[in-house]
Amino acid sequence: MNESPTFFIIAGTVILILMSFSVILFVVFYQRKQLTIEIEQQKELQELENKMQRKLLENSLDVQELERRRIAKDLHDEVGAILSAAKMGFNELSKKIKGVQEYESSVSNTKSLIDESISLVRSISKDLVPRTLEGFGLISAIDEFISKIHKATHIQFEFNNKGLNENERFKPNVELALFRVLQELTNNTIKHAEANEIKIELAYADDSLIFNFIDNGKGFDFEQKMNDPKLGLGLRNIQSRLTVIDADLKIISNPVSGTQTKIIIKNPK
Amino acid sequence: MVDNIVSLALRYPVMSLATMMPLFLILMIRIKRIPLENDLKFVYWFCLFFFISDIPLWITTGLKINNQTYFYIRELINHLLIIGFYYFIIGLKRTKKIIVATEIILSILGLSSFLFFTEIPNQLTTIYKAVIIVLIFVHFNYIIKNLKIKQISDYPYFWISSGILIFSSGSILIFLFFTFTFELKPLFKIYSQFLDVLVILMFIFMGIGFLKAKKYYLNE
Repeated sequence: MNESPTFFIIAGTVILILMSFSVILFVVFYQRKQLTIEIEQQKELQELENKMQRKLLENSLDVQELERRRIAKDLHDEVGAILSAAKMGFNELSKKIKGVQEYESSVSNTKSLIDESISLVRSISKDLVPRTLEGFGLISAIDEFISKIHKATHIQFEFNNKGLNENERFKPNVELALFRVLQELTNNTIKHAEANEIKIELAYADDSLIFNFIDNGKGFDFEQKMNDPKLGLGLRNIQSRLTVIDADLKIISNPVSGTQTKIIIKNPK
Repeated sequence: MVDNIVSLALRYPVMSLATMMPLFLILMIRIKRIPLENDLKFVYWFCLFFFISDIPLWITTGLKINNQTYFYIRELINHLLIIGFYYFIIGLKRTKKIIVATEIILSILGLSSFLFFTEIPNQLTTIYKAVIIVLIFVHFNYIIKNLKIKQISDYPYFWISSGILIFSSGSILIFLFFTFTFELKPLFKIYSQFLDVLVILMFIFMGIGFLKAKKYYLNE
């Protein structure tokens, strides 16, 4: 009678201990599995959130571009037309008072002011909407942009494009983003870097567009600029624009050799 | 008396080790300066109680005094303490209430059985162990469902619960068939030593838990 319960106790105890170990192992593996699932879900959620944020950013940039276009059109069509009409009217008036010496200098001054205003309106309108970019592509737009800046600031530009035709075209959003980034970088160089040389390189290799912007001015601390909410607005704009087109941005800056900005855009066509 | 205790310790080294295990654990906690955060304090005090309350068992055995009553009361308190431990680590209000009720019922049951029956109701310990096993399952379920713990192997209470689970499940049948295990002389020694092995295992798991605690609370 005693043997039977002894066997039962020993066998039962062994089974129970084995079951305990199984439960412990099960908890470890199950928890790990659950955690992996949760991490994956969180990742998916994060990706979705990033996508949404990018879409929002894209929309806000689109709205910005549309607003620029509207302002440019209004300036060109409305203000430009009014100024042209004013110029015509003034020409008529100046014909009538021709020969009256006391008005001659005022007439000439006013005429040149009206001409200046007309050309300024045209220039602002052109700056707001890069027509060359839309019509002839990135390389022509960069060429036009740097010659204009060179005239205004006397900064020396060197522009090299490797493996690209003059009329090479990319996705419209890529072209626009890169052109706006170039404008922002040039603006930063003029305003803060005190540089006298800017080197721009554009290359296309392995389905990637590589854009390099190097100046010889005084550099800056990238991290500090990005973390300061009052500073780095331009840099943040650059980042936003590049996020939308899935581009990689790398900025190397130091006081001796200036700043180098490298942008890589995959599948730009 | 001392000679008797020493010869007993030498004759049963596993039993001596089982008695010393909580002391080793306490020393390790002190030497390694393991932070006794939150409910780990409770486990620490449990270890201390386990060690101190084991000393009278050695003395009475050395003096050849029947210590079955003391053993029963000690077992009762140990199990109630373990049940109480789950009151702190399971963060569910309903479960906490159930634990309090269970503690009260088991205390009344344990004391009344002891007072009103002529024989010591060792089989009652089985109920305590069953309750503990259920609570461990609730705790494991709580860990899995809450998922606050990133690496379960770094969670000290998981190791502590695992140790208690092995101890309780390994000894539940021995106490259920008390008349066949402890009351039969030749088998008593085997079962008693087996229980000591389970105690050692439990404290090893607790030790791992305490070692993990340092890393866990540093990362938290």
